[in-house]
Amino acid sequence: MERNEILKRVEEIFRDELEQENLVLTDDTTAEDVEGWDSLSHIQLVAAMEEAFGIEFKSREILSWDNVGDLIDCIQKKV
Amino acid sequence: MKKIILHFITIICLFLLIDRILGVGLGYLYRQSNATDEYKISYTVESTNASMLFMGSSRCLHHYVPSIIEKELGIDCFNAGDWGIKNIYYYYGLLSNILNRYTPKVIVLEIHPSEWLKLPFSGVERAGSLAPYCGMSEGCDEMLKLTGNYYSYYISTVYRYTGSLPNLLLGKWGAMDRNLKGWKPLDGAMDTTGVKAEEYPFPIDQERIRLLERFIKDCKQKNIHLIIIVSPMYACSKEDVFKIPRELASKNNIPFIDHYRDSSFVGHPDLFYDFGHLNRKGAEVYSKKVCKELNSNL
Amino acid sequence: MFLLLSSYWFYSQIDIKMTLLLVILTLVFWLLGRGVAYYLDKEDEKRAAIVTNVGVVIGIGALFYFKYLNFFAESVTSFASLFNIHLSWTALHLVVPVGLSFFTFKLMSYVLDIYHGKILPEKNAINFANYIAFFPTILSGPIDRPKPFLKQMNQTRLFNPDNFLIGFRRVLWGMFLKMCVADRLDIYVSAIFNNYEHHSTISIIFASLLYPLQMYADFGGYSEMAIGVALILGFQVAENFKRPFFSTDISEYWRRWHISLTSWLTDYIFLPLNIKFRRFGIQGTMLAIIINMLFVGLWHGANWTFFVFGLYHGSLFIPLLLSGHLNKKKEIKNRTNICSFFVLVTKIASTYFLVTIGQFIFRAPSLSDAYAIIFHSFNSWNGNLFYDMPTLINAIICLIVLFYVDIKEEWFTPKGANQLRWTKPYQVDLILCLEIICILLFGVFDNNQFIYFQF
Repeated sequence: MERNEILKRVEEIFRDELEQENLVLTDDTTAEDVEGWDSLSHIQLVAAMEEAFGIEFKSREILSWDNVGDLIDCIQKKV
Repeated sequence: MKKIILHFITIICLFLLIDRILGVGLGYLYRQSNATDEYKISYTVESTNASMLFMGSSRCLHHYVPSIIEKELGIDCFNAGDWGIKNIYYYYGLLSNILNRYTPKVIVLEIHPSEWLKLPFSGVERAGSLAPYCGMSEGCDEMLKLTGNYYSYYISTVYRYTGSLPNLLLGKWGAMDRNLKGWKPLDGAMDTTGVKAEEYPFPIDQERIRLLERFIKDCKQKNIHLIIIVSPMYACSKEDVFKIPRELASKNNIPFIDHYRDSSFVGHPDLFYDFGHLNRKGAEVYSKKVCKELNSNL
Repeated sequence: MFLLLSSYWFYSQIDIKMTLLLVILTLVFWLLGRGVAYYLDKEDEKRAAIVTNVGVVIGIGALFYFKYLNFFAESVTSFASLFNIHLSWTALHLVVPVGLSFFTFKLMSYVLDIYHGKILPEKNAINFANYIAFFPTILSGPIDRPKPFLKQMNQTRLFNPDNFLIGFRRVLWGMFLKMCVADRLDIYVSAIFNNYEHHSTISIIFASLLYPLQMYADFGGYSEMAIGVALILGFQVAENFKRPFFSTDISEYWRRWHISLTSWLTDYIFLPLNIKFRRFGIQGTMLAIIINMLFVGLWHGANWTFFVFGLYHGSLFIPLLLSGHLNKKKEIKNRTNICSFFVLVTKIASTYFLVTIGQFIFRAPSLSDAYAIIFHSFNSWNGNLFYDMPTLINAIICLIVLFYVDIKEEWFTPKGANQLRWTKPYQVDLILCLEIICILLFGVFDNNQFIYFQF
């Protein structure tokens, strides 16, 4: 899958889960930049992404993400 | 760096200035307050000229009625007793301050085991009550040095009043009635359930005994009639609690008036407020009784 | 280097044997950190995980041995005796090394952060040792994370007079909190709790309501002093308290109380657990929160009271979780409706009340003592409120100052405002001077203060 495609889909998932229609994600976006993205919604986002892409993350991978870019890289490796 | 040093010098100068000004203000409030400590200490050290002074702790404070004693003996008295379990560290410092200003003719000391036993709840920190008079007399400063806070008191006049702002602000609404010349009557009768005699299983403290001896010596040097007295308690210990002061008094030719086991008071709950303090009625009866003995010892 | 030696000297004044432990553990973890990074470089995740786990085990082991072993063994013994199995255990007389809970957490977060790729191992052993042993924070926190602190250690720090003054001011504020508020309240609260059999229910309730304020001033005061001293030395350390009693619900409270501890546990306990339980939806999160709060409680000490405290706070999250309040997205929507002052006050008051109950359990020396006090309270409604005017008035004056400052900071200070907050050059000196005088006038300076009353 193309990286940009993944980014778009992830953006959709975030918009859905966090109920923010105008959210834009870039590789550098972190949790601090997004309203409503905290340790609890983080898990919901993870679960939603796993379902959407049909993949499973390892705990270690999830904990290693610093920003959206890391997240995308991780997804790309699995898809 | 230079900026910081400048800041610190400014702070220190400001501090010394403001501290001194506030100290004067607090001292004024201290003299005006009718809270027990504040009134008793300030009046005793600065104002009274009574020929007969009663010194001691709460037992002294509540037991000796100057108006009765003055009437019988014809000498003006002041009850300089103070609340809490004060001890010889406090009395010695207080005496030094008094003698710095005037010499009373008679001092009656109501004695308590804290004068010769190492009581854990009454120690050298009691002298801290005299902090507002830091620098007044050598004896008082010596006691303050024992508390370990002398230099702090010396540097900061505000620190001398630490924690006592509420009492200072009380002013006229304090607990003491100045018309009673230092006596604080206790109204109410005693609840005798479960009352036992107070015991004193504490070691002898040589430092306190030495201070007591110095107290006696200082009085003698100034030709003050010193009388040591023990007022009654509701219930008495079987031990000879007052052996040491009795021996000390006899060694120094000081009259020792002992009412500890006085049967006209012991076991009479209507005369007591609690196991160690007479109530208003008890104090009046006791003061009257003691007058004759005081007279014969003058 | 000088800083390190002073930190070790400082610690050795407290406990010289444990300084050796501190040095050894620091060395061990520094090597472990390098080991983890080595294996990660070689893409050998398995070995890296093993080394990390060794580190975590050592850290937890040290904590367990010194702090929890007796508690654990005694609990096991008494549990076994319920089944008539008699085990014998002679309590080890161990003195818990001061600050153990703080520096072991720092050590563990170091290896864990390397393992998760958040930081690179610190090349300079002295810098690392300074991070662990940093004397302003070693005794009672705040708990710093490796990244922000090591970054500062590796920079050349220039002397900044503003920071010096801000730090000094924070130290004075901490002294005010500790000596004028906390210690003063303690005189009253201890008089009630240590002699609860002689006091009426209303006095006990009043003392319980004052206790969280005392704790805030006590711990908050220590944190302020630590942060202030660190600032004087040129280091920014983590904030620990953010006016917790203005929280409108319990989750906000834990974001504002002992922040360095709760964020540490959130990142290293809650998050991994929550990730593991993500298949179980909301129940998974609930379990993760409860386990997390149990850790928060037990971190404070080895006593069943702390366990119950943790359980209590964990369960307080359940209604919040179920009603969706914890989900910030819904929180934002609702905020527009909650702007009335009255509702705000009610929420703050009810949060404070919930915290009071927790703190009551926290303070009790044991669960049976807690029961005894509660039982006594049910039977003592017909007594008067005990009060000692001078103590309470001193406390009230200082609390008013505290409220004023906190209210100002919470609602009337724009974010990122200049911490010095003055314009005239000598205003700062005057304020500092007045603060010193207040501490002298209102502080509790000896341990001999007690309320003199007869039973």
